[in-house]
Amino acid sequence: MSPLQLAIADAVKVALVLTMLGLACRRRLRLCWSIDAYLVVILACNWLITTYPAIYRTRSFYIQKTAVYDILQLCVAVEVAWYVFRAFPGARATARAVLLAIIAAVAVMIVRVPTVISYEYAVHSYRPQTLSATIWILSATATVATYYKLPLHAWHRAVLLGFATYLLVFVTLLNILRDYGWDLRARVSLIDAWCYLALITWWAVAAWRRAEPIVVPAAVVERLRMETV
Amino acid sequence: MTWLWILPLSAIPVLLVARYSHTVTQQQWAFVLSGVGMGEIQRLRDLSSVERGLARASYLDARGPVDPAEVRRLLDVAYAYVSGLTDRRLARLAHMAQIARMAAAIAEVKPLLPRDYELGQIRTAAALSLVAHHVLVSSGERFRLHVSTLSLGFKLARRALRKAQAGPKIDAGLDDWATLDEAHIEAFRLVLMTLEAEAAKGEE
Repeated sequence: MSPLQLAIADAVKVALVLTMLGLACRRRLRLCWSIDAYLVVILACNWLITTYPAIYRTRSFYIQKTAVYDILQLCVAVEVAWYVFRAFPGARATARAVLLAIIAAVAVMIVRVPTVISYEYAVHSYRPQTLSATIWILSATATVATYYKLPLHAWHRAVLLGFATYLLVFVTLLNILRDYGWDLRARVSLIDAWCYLALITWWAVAAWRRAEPIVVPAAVVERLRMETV
Repeated sequence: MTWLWILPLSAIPVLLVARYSHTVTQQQWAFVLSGVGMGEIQRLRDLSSVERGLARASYLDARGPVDPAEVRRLLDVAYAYVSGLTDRRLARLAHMAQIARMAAAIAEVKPLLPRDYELGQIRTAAALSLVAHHVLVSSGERFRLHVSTLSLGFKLARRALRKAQAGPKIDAGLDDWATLDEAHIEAFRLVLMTLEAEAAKGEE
């Protein structure tokens, strides 16, 4: 690990801690439990890899941690969708049809994955597929929410925008790596690290930002099940 | 994995979320869910009733004179009045179509029935709309179809009145215009009432 990569990893740790502190202080942890779990797992893995690189900076650990990341990212996408549509039965019915189709495609994809996978397979084929599914769930949620003009909490908006944008960049980088070879690995890895740092920093800002003002009667807030934190 | 190249398309809806305004969305939903709209329905109903009466009276005036030129002039005046009223209704229906998506999140709509109309073109439009209504799945699509059919109906009624020379045609046009007018108020009422009912259900 180069000094620059180490510095970025440390900066990500700081941003992660700030994000979690922000969520806790602003009482936003309950807005998406999956992302809380995701942030904790990311922080733990980051700490393990930078502190004990000899043990944890291995291909087998990479496959294990990315499997956990992917599951949690899917959970985040589904939980945000549930949160956005929970007060809107009509919009929920549309979203359910779209999301079920995506989840069915993911299920088929998971069934096709071999029980034992290589590092190359994980990077080249498995990850782009699972991450694409997450991107499509996030995009479908954003589309249906925009279509019905549903109210979105600032934190959910940050998660939707941040995750979808970052994953899009990440999947593109993985595709570049697959198409142009491993020689680009160091450069691609560095670009990914900078993008990830930007994502977590943005989340930290969003987590600490004050709640947007409520300009409607309490009955409307209650009916739409809007969060005021 | 050629399908991965379509991934950038997924960024489009995400960009739409970036343009989201929480304050504006809250205000729109507050209007949709509040009882403020109930008073508006009655006001609209009263105003429409007066306007329908005036429209009919203006056409009745055109039947009085014997001089064809005078009849033509009065018919033009009556048509101009109805045309202006139709423009206002079309604008209102366009606004309804905009908030229909929000209403569709929690509302349902009934189609126009061909038997309620006298003009052949409007009956055909209503019949086609009725078929489409049963083909469409979501309530949002149905409501937008309903609003589109009403807009088309108003335009057809206006055209029929413009071309009408004889009494029966004018009567048929005015009757259909009045039926469409009631239906457009009903659509407005439906949006607000169903949402109000949903809100009350949610509070129980």
